Amino acid sequence: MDRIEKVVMATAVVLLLIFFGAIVVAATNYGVDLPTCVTDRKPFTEGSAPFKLSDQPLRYEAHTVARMWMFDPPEITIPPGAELDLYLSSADVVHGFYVEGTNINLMAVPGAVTYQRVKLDREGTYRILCHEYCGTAHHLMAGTIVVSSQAVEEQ
Amino acid sequence: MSNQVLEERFVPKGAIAFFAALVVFYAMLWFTMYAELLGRR
Amino acid sequence: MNGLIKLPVESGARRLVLIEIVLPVVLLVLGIYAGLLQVLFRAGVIQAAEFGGWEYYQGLTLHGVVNAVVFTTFFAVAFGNALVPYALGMRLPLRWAWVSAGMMIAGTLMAAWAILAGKASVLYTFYPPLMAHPLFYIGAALLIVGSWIAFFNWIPLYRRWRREHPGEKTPLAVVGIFATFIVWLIATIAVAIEVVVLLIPWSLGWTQEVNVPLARMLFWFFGHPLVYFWLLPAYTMYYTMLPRLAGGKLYSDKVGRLVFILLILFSIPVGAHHQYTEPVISSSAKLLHAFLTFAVALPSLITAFTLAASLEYGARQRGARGLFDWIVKQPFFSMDAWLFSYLIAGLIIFIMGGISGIINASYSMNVVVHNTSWIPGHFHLTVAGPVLLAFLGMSLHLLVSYSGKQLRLKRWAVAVPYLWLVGVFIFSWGMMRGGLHGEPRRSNLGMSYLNPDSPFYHPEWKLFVTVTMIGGIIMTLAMILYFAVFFTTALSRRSGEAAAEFPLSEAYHDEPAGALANFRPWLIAAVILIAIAYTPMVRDVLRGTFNTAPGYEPHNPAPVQQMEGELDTPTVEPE
Repeated sequence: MDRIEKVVMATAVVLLLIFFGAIVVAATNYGVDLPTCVTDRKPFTEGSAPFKLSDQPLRYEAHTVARMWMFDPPEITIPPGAELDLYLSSADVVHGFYVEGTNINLMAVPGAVTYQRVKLDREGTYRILCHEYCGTAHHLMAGTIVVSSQAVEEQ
Repeated sequence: MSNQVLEERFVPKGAIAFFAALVVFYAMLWFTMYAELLGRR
Repeated sequence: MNGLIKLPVESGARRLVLIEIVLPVVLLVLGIYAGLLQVLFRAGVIQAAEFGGWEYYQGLTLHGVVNAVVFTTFFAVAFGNALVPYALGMRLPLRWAWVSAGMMIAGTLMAAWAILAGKASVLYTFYPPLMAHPLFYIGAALLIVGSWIAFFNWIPLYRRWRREHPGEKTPLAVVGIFATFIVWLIATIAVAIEVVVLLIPWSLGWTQEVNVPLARMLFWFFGHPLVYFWLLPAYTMYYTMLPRLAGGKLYSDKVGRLVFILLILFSIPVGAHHQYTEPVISSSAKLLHAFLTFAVALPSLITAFTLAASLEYGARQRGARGLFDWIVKQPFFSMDAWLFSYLIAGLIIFIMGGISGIINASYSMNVVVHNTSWIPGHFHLTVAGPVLLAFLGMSLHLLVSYSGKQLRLKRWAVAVPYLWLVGVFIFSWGMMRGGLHGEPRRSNLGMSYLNPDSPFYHPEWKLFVTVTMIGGIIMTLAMILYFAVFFTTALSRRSGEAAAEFPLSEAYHDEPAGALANFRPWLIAAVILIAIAYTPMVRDVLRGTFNTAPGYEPHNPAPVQQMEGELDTPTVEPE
């Protein structure tokens, strides 16, 4: 190996380390991280609409069950800026839970619960798609997240 | 140019330039995606 | 090409390799047709659950299994059966080679029947608890074990060569093929456990439930090295043949060896990067796998430089000047070195495949793209780019040399890779941009999001799926040309002696192999790395899984056992 090749290799290593560093920064400084592993929740088969955990800060918790071929509940309504502890469980096969245009991208795997803390600042209706093949009607499995300040009091 | 001469002093300048361009291009695309990731928060 | 060393091949070996080349190309006709249907369904041109007797997800299963698993495995075995004896100057022992081919063919036919009969629409990742017909799993197991036997058959050859050539470097081509099959062997052990221990007894009804997170971990232990099993034969061609085809020399022999060893080390302990968004696996294990995935990107980055330098060397001899002239002065359309067009077109595609892969692997960045159409957009730039084109080109090369025929329709043969390149770039642009706008992968969009009558109609994706379809049609045209070339050649009259010949390159820097001379220390290191990467994952899976799951057939939301009436003694699923 000559000097040029060593420089090339070092350059490649530096490039990859920069990428890796940027990812760590995204997690530590910007709170952009992967869904963490929760082991204190048993898989559940009934979903629940968001319920309030606290006012200051505004926090909710919701349980979603993915099953062939629907989400239970099909609609999740939260106020903008609220922190939502989202628990996701599958009642049958593997499903996906992807909220279009956001970083909410989860897998529902039978045997365990997926958890992510979610926060949506912009009001509007977001599409939830099942994005893992789950059988014949997979392409019809969808739901919505409604972010609306009016919806707060109903809960 | 004879092969003999080339054998002695072949420095892959073109490949170095190509690799440098590749690294810059990769970094550009990667950080575009990084901006997308942070922008979706 | 002129001046290549020809080695005679006995008729048994000839027939073996030709069968292992022709059969998968015949199946590929089905796989490509299924691919064309995919883009038509997804673009909303076909707005139905099925077309021509194939359900969308059945066609998608066929497309993945045939193109990505059957075609690639057969090719790698055929390539090794031809190249290993050639590079070592030895004869291929035939008995076990035929056993291997027989198992692979039997397995393929079983799985193909299950898919075509509509009993295995579980896609090529066959994630439980979706359940396929037992023959789908048994077929897969036979295909894998058959390919192991092919590898075991070369090992005594290699050992004998080492004994007879003390102090000589193992030919780089053999290092490449052995790296391919070492990665394959280690990786497939996990999927063999998944299939044989978990899935076959479960699909036969002998066991009721399956541990899904465990099955997924085992699958992805295999699933990423699978990618390198695809890439390594292509890398073998790039390092050992591309420089010669381009009229140059391999810039550095040692870098070639280093790259192959690095791929043995790092292509396996990275499976969690396919499972970033899943429960059970802790973030620290995911981050560790992300780090190791960056390590496996390193050999590919080095390869970009080394191959460029090798190509530049050839071009400088033809009078290329300046910094970028060498790029133009390559034999892109050479009728003599036509294999070059397949290799170079694949490499150009791989520039985009490489960076999109690094993006996918980048931990949290994965949530932007995970399971969107970005992902198949990406891997069509790898497995349907460098891998497919190298395999297609080498299949033609093997067909020609092992049958003693002349390549027919040469102009078409040279046009195929460039037409494919244009098609796949258009296709992947559509898929990847669509993915960034939320378009899911593996979904019959024509039945929902791309159907104006559906409540799910999503017109924003129209542009992306249409572009994807245009790319897919161009790719199909390229493959029609390829099949015309392949079968016209195969059916033509023999015009010369059949012999093995490969355009093996010389090296510009031909240094001693040093620490890279033996596989053994690196194998041990690879196993240690795997242990480090997978110990926390195994622990997570064993601790974090609450319950196992019964099986489900894809068309029925009720579990399989329940449908069969809760029998105490489970029976084999009735036909």
